Amino acid sequence: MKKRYFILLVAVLALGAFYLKNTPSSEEISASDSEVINRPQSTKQHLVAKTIKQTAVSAVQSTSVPELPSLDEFPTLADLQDLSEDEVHHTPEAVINGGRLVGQLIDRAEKNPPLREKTLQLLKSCAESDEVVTAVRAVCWKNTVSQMKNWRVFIPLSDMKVPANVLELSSQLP
Amino acid sequence: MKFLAVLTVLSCLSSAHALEEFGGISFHSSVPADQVASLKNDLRYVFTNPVTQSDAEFLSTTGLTAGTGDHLHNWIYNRVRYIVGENYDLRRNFRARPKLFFKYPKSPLPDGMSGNSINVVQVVMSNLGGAVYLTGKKEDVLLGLDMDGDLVSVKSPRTGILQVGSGLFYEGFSINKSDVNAPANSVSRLGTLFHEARHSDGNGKSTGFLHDICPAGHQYEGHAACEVSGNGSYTLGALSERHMVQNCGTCTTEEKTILVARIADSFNRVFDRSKAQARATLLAELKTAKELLQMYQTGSWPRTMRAQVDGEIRALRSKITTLEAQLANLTIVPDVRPASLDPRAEGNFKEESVQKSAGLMRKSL
Repeated sequence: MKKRYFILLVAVLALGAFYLKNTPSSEEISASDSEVINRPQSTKQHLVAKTIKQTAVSAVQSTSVPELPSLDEFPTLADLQDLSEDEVHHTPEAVINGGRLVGQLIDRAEKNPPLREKTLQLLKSCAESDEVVTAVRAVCWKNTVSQMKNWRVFIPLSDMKVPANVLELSSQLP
Repeated sequence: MKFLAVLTVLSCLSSAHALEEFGGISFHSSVPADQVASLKNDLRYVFTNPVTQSDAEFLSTTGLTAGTGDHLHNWIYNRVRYIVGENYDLRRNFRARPKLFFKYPKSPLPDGMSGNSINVVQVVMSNLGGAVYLTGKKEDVLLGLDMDGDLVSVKSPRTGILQVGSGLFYEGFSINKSDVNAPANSVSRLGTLFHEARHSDGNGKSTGFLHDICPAGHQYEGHAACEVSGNGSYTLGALSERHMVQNCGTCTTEEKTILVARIADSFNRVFDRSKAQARATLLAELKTAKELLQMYQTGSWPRTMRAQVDGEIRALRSKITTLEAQLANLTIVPDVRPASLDPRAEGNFKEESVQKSAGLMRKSL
């Protein structure tokens, strides 16, 4: 029985010795850490740069103002050229698309207040542009004035260059 | 027994040719089922949609005493009784009728009819009744159209026969692209219906409220897609949509904005003839002045003439500036709408009451 305990004790001691031999010392631990820190500079910079970029992207995603369409996206008088008699009898698709664009702009600005000033400026530019379809210019002007009042966002309008026919047309809209 | 068999066959035949009716308006078999369903939906919408505010100008132009659904439907019903489809063959269904007790009024034909009738048919393509009436009046022949076995004599533009095309349901013209029967799409189609229904009105020169050629400088210049009266089809279509947009409680901002663009497009086709003529004159003068300026600027003139040429260039530049300023001040869309035409319809027809048309609609609902 005593012999059995003695063998067990020796086995435990041997295991303990083996464990102590394979566990790194504190110096060895700090050495391994410093090895990670002392990785090639380029890799470290890459990681840092990536992290900064990711942070920046998430910041942009969470706070930035989405891009507005450009004035080029509004239907122009050129889009109404070469339409057939049938096509001009009722409102052409280009005018419908122009109305849709203005409606979407207002919807986006409604949900995203930082967009409102830029939206009003774009609508004003649309109303002033000689190239944009007259009906759409009238809708743009109507909304420039009504949304400015509605959103309480100021843009200067005294310098506007909207011709009389667009102003008159706009005055007939609901 | 034989009599019963004949009756059965006759009833089967008549039901096979019976026009589908909704709210007093009959649909010819050439109108596809899905289009019939949408048009029924539109008529249901105009009749049942609650009206909270009436457009005063819409009421005065239509002569309606109220802007509620029953009155709107009545106005349509008195001008549209039959709707045929895009594939309805006018030539195959055209019939000359005996003119026993019918006489066309001795009033003049509209200006567009003085030359040939092709222009009129193109202009009022969608209002077949008006075109057939005017053609019959011009030729002094009573004409009729076969409506699935029923022969309809066209004794007035108010016989009210409209032809609808697939364009009315084309996705590109849709206000709401995901639901063909959305209220905003109904408002848009009903606006077109009001426009076409106006072509059933008028007498003498105003019969059919034919369109006019858009003037020089207009975005639809040269097309018969404008009007010089203040109560024609474009004005009426725009006013009806303005009335309906203001009462569309479920339309989104985007949908309303598209409908407003449609309204603007229609109003933009109404012009004052005198202003349009003045504009055309100014445009012609401007074109000439610019051509002369280019000639003086690009020509190789002898040195002895240089001073005179320079004087001409200065004078032309000044003239161009003046003409451009005059053009900018001259508007096509007038401050006040142009004079109205007489909307009273000519020929034989009976104006039905709101009670009658509302009763027909209630039966259909």
